Amino acid sequence: MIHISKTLSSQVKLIPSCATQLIDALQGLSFTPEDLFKIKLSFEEALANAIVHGNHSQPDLSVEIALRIKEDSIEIDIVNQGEGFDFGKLPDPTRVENREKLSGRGLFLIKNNMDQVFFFDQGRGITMIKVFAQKGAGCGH
Amino acid sequence: MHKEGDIVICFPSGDIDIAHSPQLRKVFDEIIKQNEKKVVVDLSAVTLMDTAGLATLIEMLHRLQKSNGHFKLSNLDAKIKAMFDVLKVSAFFDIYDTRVNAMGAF
Repeated sequence: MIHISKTLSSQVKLIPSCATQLIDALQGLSFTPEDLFKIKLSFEEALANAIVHGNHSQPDLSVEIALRIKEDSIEIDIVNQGEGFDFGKLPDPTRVENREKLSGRGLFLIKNNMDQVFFFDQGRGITMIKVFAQKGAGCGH
Repeated sequence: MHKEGDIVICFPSGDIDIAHSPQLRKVFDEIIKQNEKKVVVDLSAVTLMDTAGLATLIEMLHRLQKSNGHFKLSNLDAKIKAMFDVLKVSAFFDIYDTRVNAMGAF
């Protein structure tokens, strides 16, 4: 398994370059272009949630990011220093009454794009898992 | 952004995400300020759109609707269109395959 970690200041302007670094780290693995798109989008959404909703965009608060490349999948952890949230009470953004709202879609999109999503530490942390399209494409060590 | 007749054409490029959507919002602010009524956003050069980018489009749609304006999208990448469909927002927008078709629909 390969493990890469990074600490980021809570500034949204840092998200694109961090997402590019992630996708660069995934090149050569057997993800389809569609999978890479979904991973990048989910990563940006989760990072934005951590920075904006978790740490309230306070640059002195940090976000911890971890990437684990396993034999058959990747796992991404993103942890903020905020107060957490009740992840059991997320409104469904696709319900008619919510569809025209300007927020509340990020986690729904992440759950739709990734194969597994877990929350931990009272919602301060999220783990996102994406399984390789072709078996045996990852790191077997 | 440029005008063709009475239609304003926006042609954003790259990723429209939480870091870049404020730039698009500034363009939309200018369009509203100039009291334009017909707007096409050609998304053919957009490589990724997150929910902040989507919110920027929904917000602009609402602003134009309030001023009796019209807002059309064209050239959505298949992956971005799939995201619209997952979030069930495609029906809000007038979406066209090409910029020309969008312009012809006013």
